[in-house]
Amino acid sequence: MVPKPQLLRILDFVTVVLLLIATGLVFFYAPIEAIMGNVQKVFYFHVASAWVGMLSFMVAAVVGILYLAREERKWDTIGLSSVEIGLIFSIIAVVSGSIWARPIWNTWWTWDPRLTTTTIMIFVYAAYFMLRSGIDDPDKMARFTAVYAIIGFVSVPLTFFSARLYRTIHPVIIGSNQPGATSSFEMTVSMQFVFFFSLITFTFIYLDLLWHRVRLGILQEKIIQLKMKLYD
Amino acid sequence: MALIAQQPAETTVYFIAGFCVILGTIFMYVLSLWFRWHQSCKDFKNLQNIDIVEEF
Repeated sequence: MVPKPQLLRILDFVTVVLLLIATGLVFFYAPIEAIMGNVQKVFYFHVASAWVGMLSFMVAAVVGILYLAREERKWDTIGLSSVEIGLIFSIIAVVSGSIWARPIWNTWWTWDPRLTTTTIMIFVYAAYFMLRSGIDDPDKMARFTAVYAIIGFVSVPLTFFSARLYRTIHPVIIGSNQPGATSSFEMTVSMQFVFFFSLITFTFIYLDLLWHRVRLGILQEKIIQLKMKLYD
Repeated sequence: MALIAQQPAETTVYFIAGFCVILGTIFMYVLSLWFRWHQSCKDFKNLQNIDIVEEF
């Protein structure tokens, strides 16, 4: 068994410290928005979760290309790990957004372009796991899912630009808002600080979780190989 | 003047709920990684022991 690397221990520690600081900043430092009140503070971790979701799917597409080019199992393990984390964080973004929407839009859910494209993106990546479980041959599975991760990535820019391209009530924080967007607000300097700190924190969370998930994937791979050796 | 004097909406319950979902889900995922890792370690050790016995 490979012991936990020292660098991973340091990353664990840094990530926990950053998360505690970010939570403290959101609760005690970020100003209360003049109209929406406290619920607007969900925005900091809501956007950061959505960012991690999209980053994960981008990494999955890149390692998918690397797998097809080199056919090394490690790229498949990283791809699987990244999609798993991306799916979790995308779901967090949707659920936290829904909670934010309830008092502001007066509804938990609406079929707005941003919300619809995000839902499609989640279903696209949920199907990634169905595809994996439907193929027995490991090489074929890795090849098929690498192609799927690359094609599925189309849903990510579609989701990102949906609030910019279509008429939507979802606010756009970076860039110009649609005229009909509700719950939009101007960020003050302290809001911007907490926002970017949250983005950095969640990027660290992603890297830390990815490393742990890849280690688990490698161990599970060894177990499968050992089982195959015993059954032969 | 009435607009200036207006207080922000009272949405603290939704704020707390949002953070419970975000931090709770991350915690649950970390917990699932921890359980899967320990279960896999146990499986790996058992399989290694069976492998050693079979070699004898």
